[in-house]
Amino acid sequence: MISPISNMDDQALKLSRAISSIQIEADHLFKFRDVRATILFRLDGRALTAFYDPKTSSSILTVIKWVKDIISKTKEELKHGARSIKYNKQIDQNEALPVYFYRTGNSGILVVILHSRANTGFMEIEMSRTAKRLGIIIDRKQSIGDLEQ
Amino acid sequence: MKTSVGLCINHDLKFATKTALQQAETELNTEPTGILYFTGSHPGGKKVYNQSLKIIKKKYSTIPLAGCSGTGIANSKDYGLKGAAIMLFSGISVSTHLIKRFRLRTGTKTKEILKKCINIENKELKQNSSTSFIFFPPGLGFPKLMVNLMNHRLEGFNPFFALNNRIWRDVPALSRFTGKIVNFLMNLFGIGISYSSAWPLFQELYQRGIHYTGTFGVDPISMNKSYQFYNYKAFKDSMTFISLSSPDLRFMSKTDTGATIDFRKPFSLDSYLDGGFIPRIDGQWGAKSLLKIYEMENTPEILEECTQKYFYYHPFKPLCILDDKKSQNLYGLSINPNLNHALITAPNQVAKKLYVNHKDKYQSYICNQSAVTIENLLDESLSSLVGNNTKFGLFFDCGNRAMIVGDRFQQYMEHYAQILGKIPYLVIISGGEVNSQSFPIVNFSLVSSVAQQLTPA
Repeated sequence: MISPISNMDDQALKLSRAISSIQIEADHLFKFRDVRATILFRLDGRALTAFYDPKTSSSILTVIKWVKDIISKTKEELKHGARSIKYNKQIDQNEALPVYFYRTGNSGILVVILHSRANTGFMEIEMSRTAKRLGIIIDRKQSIGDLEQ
Repeated sequence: MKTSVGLCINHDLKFATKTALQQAETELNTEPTGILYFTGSHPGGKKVYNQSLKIIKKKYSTIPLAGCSGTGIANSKDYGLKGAAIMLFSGISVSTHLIKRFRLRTGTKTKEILKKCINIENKELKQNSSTSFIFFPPGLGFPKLMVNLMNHRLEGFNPFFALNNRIWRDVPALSRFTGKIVNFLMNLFGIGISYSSAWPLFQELYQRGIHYTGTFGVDPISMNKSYQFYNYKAFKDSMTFISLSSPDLRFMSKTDTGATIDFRKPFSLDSYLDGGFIPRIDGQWGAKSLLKIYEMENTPEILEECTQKYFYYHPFKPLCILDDKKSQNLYGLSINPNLNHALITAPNQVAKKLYVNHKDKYQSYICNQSAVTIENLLDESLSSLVGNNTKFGLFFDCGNRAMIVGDRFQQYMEHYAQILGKIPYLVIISGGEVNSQSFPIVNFSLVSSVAQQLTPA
């Protein structure tokens, strides 16, 4: 007989594993030199995890604020087939940051803010990879270790 | 005969090698006879690579190992830019070789390599076994100081654009030697080996009919130096190569570009072209006449954008086929609209040959690569190579092609997995790929090599 309490513990364990694996994947993307911020949103616009460095410059906070405003619009586009959306956010007269919105599974949006002179061609490879992996984790609530087996 | 593949994507290179090795070991189950080891580029340099190689050394200290660092790695399960990949062989005779400081004395070192290759080939022929060599020459890499300067819009410090100075344009006697000077400076300051200095080695191997593949391991993101691995130690500016031979196997290889010709009208280059330096096209200065061919006279900003950095790919970056349609020698064209010059990534020898053959006029076609054509061509090219008897596959994909695919990279990798099925394979994404089937050297291409069993088990 499995007692209900132990059963709940298993579920909690699975959830905690899933959350930690989400954080590992997002952190892996954030460690790239070209990336300034990675944020994972729920479809209702609530942030699940966020990696950013406010010490470098305060302009990143204004961009994040803009992302929060715009996410309700991108949500509908991503629902209807689009894999990703790219915007350029002007922060200075000379500088514009590329911002990517990726569909992650059925109930998430991955937002990545890059440096103004980042190599977007190569970063797209890593961004699509993390979006795919995060999507699987969110949909099935599995950890990375379960995926590889 | 058995092979297995392990791959892990992680920023921590030690952790990645550990897990990749575990994956490969569990698949193989027996003691391996040879190891291939590839990594994504790491800013830590030699120290980090040596530390990660020590992890493999703890288990297999006597088994020959070779490999190099590239930009990215992929497998049937995963893909990414940072991490490690391992391929283990059993039942194949493997030997590895190292030639130190290849960049300084390329002439004498090529003779050394040729001697070794021919000796191995003759030995194996007596036992009725076929061999294939995989070369890892040192690739292009700028010092960090230079990269930082280039990133801050001081393009004058880029050695390629420094040659676009007025001196080189106005003095015709100097423009003949620009390519040679670039190659000499690259070899001298350890920026890397260019195609033209590795040319005589691959030419002789091609003429003797020796099967080979390889990569230069260039990383166009950070422009870090490429490292070569030889028996559990990392080297820079040196050539390593591995020979695989077995009586039961037959090695096959192929190159594909996936390019479509956009502009069918050929144009003539009517000036001396050495080291990819084109002062005049169609009787006009290079940049102006090229803008005319692209029909972009009114929008020079696009070309300015795509030629800001020499190696970075841009969807509007023009590629050209030199000499002939059938041979498919694909090279990148880059022009700076502010200065009146065009540069080609073709090696010196190609340019010289064209000049000798045609004297004043050569024809070339301008073409373009797109994500759709690359994906479609993968189907055609691999279906002819891969069969029921294939044992393993190694694919060297150009980094610029990966950039073209961009957001569709996930689909592109799934396409690989669909065609190859359960066959163990590795895709190494890096700049500069060579193959015995395609000579003269081709840029912007996919080199695929596959081993097939002669007698099905």
